[in-house]
Amino acid sequence: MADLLAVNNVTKAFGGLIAVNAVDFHIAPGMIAGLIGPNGAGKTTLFNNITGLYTPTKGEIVFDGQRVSGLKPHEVQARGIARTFQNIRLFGQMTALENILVGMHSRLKGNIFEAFFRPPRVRHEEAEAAAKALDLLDFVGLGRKFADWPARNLPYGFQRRLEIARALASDPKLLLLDEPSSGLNVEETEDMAFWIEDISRDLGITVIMVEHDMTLVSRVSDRVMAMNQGRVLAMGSAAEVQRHPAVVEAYIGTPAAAGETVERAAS
Amino acid sequence: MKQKILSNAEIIGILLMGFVALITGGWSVIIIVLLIGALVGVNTEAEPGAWRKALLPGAISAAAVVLATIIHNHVIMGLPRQEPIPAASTAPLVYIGAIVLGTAMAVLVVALRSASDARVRKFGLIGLLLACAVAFPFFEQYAQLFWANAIIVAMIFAMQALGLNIVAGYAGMLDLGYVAFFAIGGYTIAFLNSPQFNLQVWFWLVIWVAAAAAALFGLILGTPVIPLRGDYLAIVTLGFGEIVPIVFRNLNAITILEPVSSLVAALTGNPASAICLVGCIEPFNLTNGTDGITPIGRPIFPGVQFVTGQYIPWYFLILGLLIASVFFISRLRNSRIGRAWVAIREDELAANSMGINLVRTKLIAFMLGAMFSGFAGAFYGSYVSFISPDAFDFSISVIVLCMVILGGTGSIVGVILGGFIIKVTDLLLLDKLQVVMGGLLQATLFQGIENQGMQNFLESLFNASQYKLLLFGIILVTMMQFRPQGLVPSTAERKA
Repeated sequence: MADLLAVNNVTKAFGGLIAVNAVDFHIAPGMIAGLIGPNGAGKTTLFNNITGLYTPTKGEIVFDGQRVSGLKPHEVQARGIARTFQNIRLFGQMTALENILVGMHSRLKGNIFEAFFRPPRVRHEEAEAAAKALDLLDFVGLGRKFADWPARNLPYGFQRRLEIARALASDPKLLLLDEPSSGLNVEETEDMAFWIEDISRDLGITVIMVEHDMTLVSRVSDRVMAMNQGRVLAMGSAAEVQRHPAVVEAYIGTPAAAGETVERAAS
Repeated sequence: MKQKILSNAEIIGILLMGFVALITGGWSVIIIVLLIGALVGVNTEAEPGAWRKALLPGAISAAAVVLATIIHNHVIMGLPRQEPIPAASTAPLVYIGAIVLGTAMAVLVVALRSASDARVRKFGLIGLLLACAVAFPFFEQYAQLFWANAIIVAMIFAMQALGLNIVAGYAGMLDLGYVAFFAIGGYTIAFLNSPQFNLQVWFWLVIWVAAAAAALFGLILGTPVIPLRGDYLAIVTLGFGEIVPIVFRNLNAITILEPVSSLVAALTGNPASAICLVGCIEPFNLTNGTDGITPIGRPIFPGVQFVTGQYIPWYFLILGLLIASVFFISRLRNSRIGRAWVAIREDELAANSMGINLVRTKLIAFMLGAMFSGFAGAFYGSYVSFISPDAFDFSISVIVLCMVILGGTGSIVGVILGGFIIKVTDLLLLDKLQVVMGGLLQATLFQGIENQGMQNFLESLFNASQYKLLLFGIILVTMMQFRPQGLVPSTAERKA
């Protein structure tokens, strides 16, 4: 089967700092991929390259047979890549429902004249969009009673879910989740695992997630990729990657180096 | 805790409205009690049977306003230099009637807001407001208040503020040169419908041309700047707002030579060989400089005369436009494009990642804002029938921004209210205050001062109109400190 996303040898440098270094991987449709690595490994930078916030310094990104590197974020989104953010970035003063409707922006058509005259087509489109937005609220377990709440007044866990609902609103083919469980408690993280599985299984959306919670990663990921200092260390199943010496080294350090530190501290 | 009879907002409202009643007096009491009644009504929590709770605060507030009016009518009117008030307005029955009217307004507003029928809730207040708006000019004329001019100008400015609200309130872009588009609109109608070029283009076409011209300049100005960060837009618009009136001031003697031939003329030392394009015999006068252009064409409508001093046709024309603007803007706000504007204001990066084309969406907001300003400028020009560069200085941009911030950024009702408060204060209340202050000075301090120069100095020291900009500055700072969301916050702000 053809790859949905191909990241071909992508490098992103900020001046002398190479944040993403010759990263090369492919994602097949329907997959849930986990991306792990210590802080500063370049995971979010990689996401930003895929979604068009950054343009790769070298290499190219091909999505669904089309080159997307070099496109603007809204153009990438229109081609079917949606994302969430590590620090929740909802539109705080807009209601939960409106947040989801903004997510549908690229799927709706009304222009300013139609906004004014509201021809039947636009009225129909708006009604359909609102109905779909309410369904999405249900899907992420938020319930319709929160539809009129300004997003910033929602509890933290709900904001995470609303962000996912907003990303799903555009019917993406690929969903990038940046640390979906960060700030959530154990139960909420378990719920999150269910939703991610639902998104993949029921909606047929391919998922890539950056995540630190290894329990969540091992549970939902078909494939895991570990990064450190801009490079890919290992790829494979969760268990394989966790045992990989380079990954262990990145997280804990080599036995020799650790021993050295202890000795130095003792002397 | 014992429940307070009046909320803080009501107390502040009573103090302010009472002050207004104190300096205006006469029949104005009727309008002021209606306003304070509406304030109490809006302030009371809506629930079935809540109208009873509005009775007492409504009566107290109205009584306070009436008391202030009585002080005006019977004490302040005793001072020298006061403008006369109609004798009928000082009858005791008027005072009692005013208290009843204010209370009734409060009760009615609460009753409408807590009606069980959703349609009554939705359209009741709008209907009430519309009824008051329709009744106002006739009452104003009967009561000899001379408020119509201020209200009409306030409505024109409210229309402008609504346009700026799209730019600054929805899309979150800081436009500091908004007056430029107002000026472009005003001058467009002045060029096309005045003796300046002896053109009399059909009025209803000219206003659209004026709006289009302003939007075009918005496009020209916005295209290079909007892709940059927000701060640059503020700087560029600030400059544009300064440049436009200066350009209009200086375009009163234009001579344009064809550049290639004038270069040849300079090189060969033969000035006669330069080809003249514009203003050959005598310099071309486009804008008439600081003298401005007058008279400017009036709206044409079968059976109605639009002339200076006849306020009722103007009032209804501009009221209609204001209502149309509100309708238009609220529809825009609740559409795909309106949501995109607010999303950009809230989080530009997230909005972009959700598929919103930042440049395009912001440019539309900027152009629409410019269009509203140009539209308002055309009506302003036609209404005052005189356009000069001095009418468009920087302070107008600031005052319109002030209206938006005072009322509540992003809130249609708030912005209109802000426009009315600022413009009515500017054109009406400060003048009234000055008359009262002048009378007070004459009756007290001047008795002991013979020196005419000293009297003049004191007179100008206590001239309230001089402190206009200071007052607006204080309002802005106070609002930012105590109520940054504005008087009537937008819906989402209110729920927070």
